[in-house]
Amino acid sequence: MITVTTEDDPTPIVRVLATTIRRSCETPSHSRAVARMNGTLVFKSANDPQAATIRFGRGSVHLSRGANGPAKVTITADLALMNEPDAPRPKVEGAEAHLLFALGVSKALTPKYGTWQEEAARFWQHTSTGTGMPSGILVRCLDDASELRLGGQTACEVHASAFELRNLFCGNTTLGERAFAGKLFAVGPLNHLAVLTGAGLRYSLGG
Amino acid sequence: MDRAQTTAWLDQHNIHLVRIDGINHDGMPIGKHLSRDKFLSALDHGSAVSDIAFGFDYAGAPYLAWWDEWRSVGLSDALQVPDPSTLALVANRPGVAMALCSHRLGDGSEHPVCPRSMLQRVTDRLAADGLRAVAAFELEFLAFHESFAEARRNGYRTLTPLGLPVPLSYLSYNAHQQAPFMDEVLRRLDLAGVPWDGWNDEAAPGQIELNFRPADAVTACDHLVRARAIVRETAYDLGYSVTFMAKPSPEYGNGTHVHHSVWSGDENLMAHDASRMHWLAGLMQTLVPGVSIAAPTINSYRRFTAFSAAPTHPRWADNDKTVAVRVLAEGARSSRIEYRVGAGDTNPYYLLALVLASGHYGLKNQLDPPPPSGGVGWALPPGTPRVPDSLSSAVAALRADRLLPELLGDAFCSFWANSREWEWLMFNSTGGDPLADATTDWELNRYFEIVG
Repeated sequence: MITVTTEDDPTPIVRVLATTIRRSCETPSHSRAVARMNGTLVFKSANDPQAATIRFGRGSVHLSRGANGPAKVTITADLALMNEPDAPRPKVEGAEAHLLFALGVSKALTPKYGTWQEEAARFWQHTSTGTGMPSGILVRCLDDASELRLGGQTACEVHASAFELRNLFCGNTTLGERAFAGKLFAVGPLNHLAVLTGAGLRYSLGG
Repeated sequence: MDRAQTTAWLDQHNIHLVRIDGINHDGMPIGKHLSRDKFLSALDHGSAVSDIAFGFDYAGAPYLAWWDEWRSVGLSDALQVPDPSTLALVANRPGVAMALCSHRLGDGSEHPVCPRSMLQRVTDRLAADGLRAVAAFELEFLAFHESFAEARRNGYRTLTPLGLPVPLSYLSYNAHQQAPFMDEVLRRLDLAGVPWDGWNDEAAPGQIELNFRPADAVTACDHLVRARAIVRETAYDLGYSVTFMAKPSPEYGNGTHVHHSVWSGDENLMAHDASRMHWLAGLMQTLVPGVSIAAPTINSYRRFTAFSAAPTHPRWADNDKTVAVRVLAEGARSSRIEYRVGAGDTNPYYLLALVLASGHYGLKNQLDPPPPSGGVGWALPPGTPRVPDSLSSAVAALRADRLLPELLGDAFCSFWANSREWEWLMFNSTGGDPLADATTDWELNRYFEIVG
């Protein structure tokens, strides 16, 4: 079993990465890969000081803030663009010298997400009882007009492409941010927009 | 002042325009300029502002990560209700007056997070028990020769302190250099009816401390926010700049210390050992979970460093400035407690509400305080409990506390924790550096001109 721990008072990027790794390790093959890993990964933002150091110790994973090497692999990612369809690939240093470790990193940081419908159901299961959450949400995929109803009586709607919906319900993006960017559309009162955005933030931060 | 008296005052001073200021959750004065007639109407009906006045952060970004039930989904109006007893003249603007306001919800009902109203509710609870609080704040700020525009162009760094560039206090030659600025500040304070006691140059280069005469709790806060506004406006008008940031540079920081006593009729309860200790116990109980109220910004926590006149541990002592709560048993009239946790950027109404509600709780429940600090309150060994050293850890302490929601209201504590968590998120995700061991550009750009 993989144990994932963080420093006291973790920064947002530490919490998001911890959540991602925990999610990845729900997949047995990913968990087995992480269990074999021993060494340090540094993950940095390309556009601001955000950074995390992830120490893998054959089944234990500990995350802390900052870029504290020496690291076997360093990943530098554009956090502002990484959830866009044409996101630039992160810069990866050290993979050639530490190939097995790098392969483990790719599994640790890439959970096996389901379809947008499966992720929406999972998101709802985790967040629906939160304060102020709507009684029900109608989710409509703009690619094929398919719909999914979450919860009870529909109080608001979310419309977007399958790509955007999957990212949203995986916790990679938030409703407010994508609505502001014109990538996602919502029907309903402002309080639901705000609460769903907050629910998404907490979901990505691990609760 | 009743309506007739208010009208007479406006007539006497030939007022045609009234600037109304309500203090929002971040301690910022917000409001409008109203015609005389509109002002008089506002006394009864309030003056409308969008309720998003309590829904945005220091940079104007809307809080879109939670929803408070008292908000309006259509962003419709909240009300600013002027208090005519705070009417005062605005310096250098003939015919213009100013008045402080409390906020109400759009339907006229109580606003759960209006700072002035919240403090009023706390003092009303004291009054119901036959008690009244008297308070006096110490206002600290840094003044610079550069104008605000110049300071902005310089990124708020390498500014020229008003006075000597050395960390000395009470130096008359230093005060002499600051005097032209302070003389104008005092003139405007006199015009505004803010009763000051004195000022001195303080420990950091360019730092000034201004002291006020004790007053009832709400009035003491009114005086402080008025004084902050006057200091800032005087600096603007004279081509200087000032900041109330807790720690804009590695030099000594700005605090907002508050001295207070509690009276039953003509009897000062702080002069009696038992009541003073019970009151103190209440303060100590909520000190840690209340730190985010005393220290509301990312920058606030840089002030909590040893040997910097700010507390680092939740301790109290008799007449000791190295601790968080300083007890001054100085006889029947002057005995009081000084709460030294407040940073320069704190909202004084929220701070004093925390202090008075906590002390009242301690008194009513006859709590006993922890033992006093047995020496210097700094440089204590590892493992000694500390005040939270980050906004995020302070929020965690608030969320875990069960007493503060009872004392200050669930609605306030929920709103406050969410808004501070938002501030933490903004710092980390919009260019702040959580590893920086000195004040960052992010903090200077966000807070220098706005906080306090």
